[in-house]
Order: sequence, then C-alpha cells, then structure tokens
Amino acid sequence: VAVSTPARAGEKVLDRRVAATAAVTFLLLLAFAELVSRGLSSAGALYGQISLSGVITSLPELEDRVRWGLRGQSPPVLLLGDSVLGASAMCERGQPGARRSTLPSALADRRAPVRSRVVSLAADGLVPGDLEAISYVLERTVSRLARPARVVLVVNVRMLASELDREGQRVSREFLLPALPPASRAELVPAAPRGEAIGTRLYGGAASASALFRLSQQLRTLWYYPTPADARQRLVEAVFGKPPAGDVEEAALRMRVEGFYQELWREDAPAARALRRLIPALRHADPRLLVVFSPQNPSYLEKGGPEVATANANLLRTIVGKGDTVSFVDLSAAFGEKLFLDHCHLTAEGNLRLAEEIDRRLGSHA
Amino acid sequence: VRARFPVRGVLLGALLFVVFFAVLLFAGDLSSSKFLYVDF
Repeated sequence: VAVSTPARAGEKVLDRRVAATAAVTFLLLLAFAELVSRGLSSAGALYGQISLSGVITSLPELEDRVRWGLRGQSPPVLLLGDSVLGASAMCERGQPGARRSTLPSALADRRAPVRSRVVSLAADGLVPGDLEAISYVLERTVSRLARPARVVLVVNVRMLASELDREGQRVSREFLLPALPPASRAELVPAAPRGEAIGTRLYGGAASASALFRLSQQLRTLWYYPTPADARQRLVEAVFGKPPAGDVEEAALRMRVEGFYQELWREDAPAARALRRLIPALRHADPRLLVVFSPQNPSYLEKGGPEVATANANLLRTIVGKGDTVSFVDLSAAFGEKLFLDHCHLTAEGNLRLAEEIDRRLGSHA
Repeated sequence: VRARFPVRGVLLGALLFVVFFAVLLFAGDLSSSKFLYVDF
C-alpha cells in the first residue's frame, strides 16, 4: 500500500520543477514590467496625464521629469515651488478634480497651443534648501541635453520663515542631499552623518536602476498620500464624511501662520542664502528666469502691515538680482480673499488666475 | 511521454510578482519629507 508521508506531499506541492517555473515566470514578469515602465516613463504617461505636483519621490525621477519636458516640440516650462503648485490643499478640502485644477494643469492648458510642456518640479513643504538641490539637477539636465527651457520659480512666504533657520529644518527631502555641493550641504545640514543611511542608499539605487520602481513610487502617490494613516482616513471619510475641523486646531494653525506675515526676513538667514545660490543655477538653465512671489491672502497679509510686506518683497527682489533678463514679479498682494483656500493655497479659480499671470509673462515664444 | 505544462509554477510565479508589486505600492510611508502642506 502506498502511503504518502507529509514530507512527500510537500515535495509534490513545491517540487523543483514548480519552483524553477515560478522563478522563471517571476523574472519574466519583472522584465516585462520593467520594459513597460521604461516605455511609459519615456512617453511621459504620468507626467503628461496626471498632475504629480505635491510629490517628488527620488532624484532619478526628478531628472526623468525634466528630460520628458525637454523632449517636447517647444521649450518646456519647468515650475519650481511648494504646495502652492500642488493639489493637496484642494484634496484635503474634498474638492472634486483637484489634480486637474492645480497651477501646473492650468498653465499646461494655456500652453497647449504653443506645444510647450509644463513640468512641475514642485512638492509639498519644499524649502529653499530643497529648491537649491533641485536647481542643480535642473541645470545639469538642461545643459546635458542642450535644449532651451523656460524656468519659473514660485516663492511662497513661508519659505523664508525664521523657523526654517533652525538646524534640521533647512531641507525637507533627504534624498535630495546628494545633489547639493559640499559647501551648501555643510551649511544646510551641518550635523548630517558623513555617509548616507543604508535605507536611503538602497532607495536611491533602486530608483536609479529601475523604471518599474520609480513608476510604483509615483503611482502610490495617487491615493496613498502622504502616509498609510492618511489613506485609511480617506477610506473612512468616503463612507462617513469628513469630520468638521476643530475650532481650537484651526485657531492654533492660524496663529502660527500669522507669524510668517509679521516677520522681517533676514538677508543672512540660511533660507535666503540658499535662494541666493540657486538663482545663478536656474539662470544657467534659463537666462530669462521668471521668479514669482506668490499671492497671499489679504486677511493674513495685513497682519504684518504694509512696511513688513514691502521690506520682504524688496529683499526677495534683491536676492533675485537685477539681471537684464531675469524677471521678478511680486503678486503677493494681487489676489482677493475669495481666491484662497487658506493663507497661501489657491482655489481652482485662483490657480487659473495665477496661470494667466505667469503665461502672460512667459509670452508665446516659450 | 510529453511533460505537462507547469501551470502551478506559472501561477506561483505570477502570485509572487503580484505580492512584490503590492509591496512596492503600499509598504512604508511615501516620502522622507519633514513637512507637509498642512504644516504651513
């Protein structure tokens, strides 16, 4: 009588042949997915169709975005900034079509007739230290491909807030650090350990080597943003609705934010110095660089009074410099309260207005 | 005798790939950002 022992039964489920076929199938699928991802990446499937403003996942992805923009028929518009350019504030308020209502999307619609791609290199919470790193990536990629580009830097009021002077607050994305020259790095992150953490290196290596990895990191941002807890909260809210914001929380945030508008910026602050360093890099990429001081909600702006607002705008103007071709546009007091979701994030209509302002200054000959 | 097509192996390989891709999509926090837009 043949009796199959548990060990022999186990062998039947996963014998050598099954394991080998499984491994080959896995590797073939991996290779196929990598090829498809490369194709999607070079076609700009995500960059062209979906606004990924609000997120940067790695340095290689950033280079990918710039390269995709430069491959278009006309010089692209490369946008640098922070959450003012993203969809998070609108998403958070449950506004439908938030990703199609961002500034980059509005500008892309306006630039479509001149076939100029609009590439957002902005992400939530970027500070001048991050922007400096991004500027070098942009400068390097543009000069390597030797194609013209228009560059627009949108400066938000909180980018120069004094709380960003503190150590540990001067750069928000550590994966951007390798793009900084040693002197900038020493000033922005003086206490950083010499070598990168193994996790950061592994992540950077995977992003650099695999288009599939980069694609997966971009795809997850479409709903998984920014943490698993937020994703769960959104699922719950889809069923039970959004809870009303607490009065105390709202008042505390308002008090904190109002502080940004009452401060006089310092020329020697680390954030101001980082801005001063990044302007030449951006000018190298686009001699006609456009720097926009982003609109601010008048109800916050008035907290600091006109003297503070003027002094800060003048400092920014000085930092940007008086090049023959570089334009500085101060839109800080240009918009009414109705175009804001909060102190600095714009409604869909506000984004349309800002896109008009930027488009007009870029002109039709990109 | 012709060898049978290894259906089980193919299915197992496909399942492994799905699990691998799900880990890429869902594991861990999204970015190393210290600041989110709500902080400002």
